[in-house]
Amino acid sequence: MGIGKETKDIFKNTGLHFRTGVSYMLPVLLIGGFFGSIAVLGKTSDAEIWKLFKIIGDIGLKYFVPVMAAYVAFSITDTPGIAPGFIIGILAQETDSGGYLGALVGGILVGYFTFLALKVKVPEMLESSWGMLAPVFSTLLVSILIFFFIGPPIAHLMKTISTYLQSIGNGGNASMGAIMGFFGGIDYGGPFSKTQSTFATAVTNLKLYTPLGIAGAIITVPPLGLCLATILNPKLYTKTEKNYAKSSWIYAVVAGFTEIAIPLAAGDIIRCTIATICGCMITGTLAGYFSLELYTPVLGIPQWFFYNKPLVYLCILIPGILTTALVVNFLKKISKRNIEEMEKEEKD
Amino acid sequence: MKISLITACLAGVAHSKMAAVAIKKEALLRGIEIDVEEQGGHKIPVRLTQEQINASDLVIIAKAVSISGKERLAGKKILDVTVSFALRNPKTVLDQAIELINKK
Repeated sequence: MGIGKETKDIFKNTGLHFRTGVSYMLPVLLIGGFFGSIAVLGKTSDAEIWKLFKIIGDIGLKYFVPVMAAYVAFSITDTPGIAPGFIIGILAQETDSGGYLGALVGGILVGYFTFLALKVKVPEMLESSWGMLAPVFSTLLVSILIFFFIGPPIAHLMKTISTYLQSIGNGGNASMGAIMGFFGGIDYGGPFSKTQSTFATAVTNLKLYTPLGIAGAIITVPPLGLCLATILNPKLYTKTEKNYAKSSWIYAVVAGFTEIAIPLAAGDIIRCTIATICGCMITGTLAGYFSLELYTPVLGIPQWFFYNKPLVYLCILIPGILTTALVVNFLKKISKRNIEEMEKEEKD
Repeated sequence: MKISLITACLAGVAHSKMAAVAIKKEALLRGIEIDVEEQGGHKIPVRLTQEQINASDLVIIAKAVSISGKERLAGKKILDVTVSFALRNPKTVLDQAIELINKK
């Protein structure tokens, strides 16, 4: 494989690298979030142990950024990417060079340049130590890029977004919720939903937690709505779909994944998507209107502990889920699918 | 015929599990022996040993994130699919796998 093709592969798979980074980042956040919320319980006490919990919480909630950058680089170029990734990630975070987004871009770049540097043919004398030296050069190059050229515009953009989001108030939050709900409901955890949730995670870096609250609230609407729909009117669904719904709604509650809806929606994508968009927009709008804030990007049951208003969260889920279920059943009713034929096909 | 399956998703809670179950079910229907490893969120509850991998005709990788332990797979035939594809189309995945095994 030529360098050109491999380069193309790396950038074509940006999504894969990003998800790998997030996958390694989540445990860090979870530990940080867990200790952070324990520390809140012991606020009034003076004991040293609560201070320790607070410190661990702060570490977790701060250093998830470099961990993400490191493992984005790891995904691109394997182990040599980890060290430069950490350093670039910390650089982006500590020096006001774009925070989370800067670290993400930095992680991709440093991974790629380390990969390139390792490809360079060096004199035999250097060959054995090149594995150690290559990351040094890629770090040098990317740190300059991030610090002087890429970081400042990203930081500026984030600041603009931050000032804007702080100024829009409840009505503005509600319309932001509607827009995020639209993107969250449109492709079941695909590129649009991920853009929306990446944005929400990125602005937590600016101490803005409402977008993440919105993103967190709409996640479980599509799967739970579609599962509920199969129970409300079983006649409209095939046996496989009903069984799947019965066994998978619990995954949606425990782990909080939109993607669980995919098998239910796959047979009938247009009608289901219209329904999930409606449901997500309603939940999103309400979440924005009530300024629901989520302090840590976690999914599923752990979410309940990090909302500022857990009760509001549960209350706004219900209209979204109900809307999804009712709309999808209504659409399926006015234009019937041939259930018998589909069941026959499944048996074959 | 023997196949190893490695699934990997973001948190290792839902997707990797569901894809593994779907493919395992389909493989058992066809009488194919299958060993499964699920990854994600650092969790590798069952790790395939080198012997298991060596003994299999093919390794199916269903991933949404980069998998760890790639060095174990050196020299094996590999079928690389996304985890959500595997989840929805276990039949197609196994068809492709069998085709790949039979192709010398």
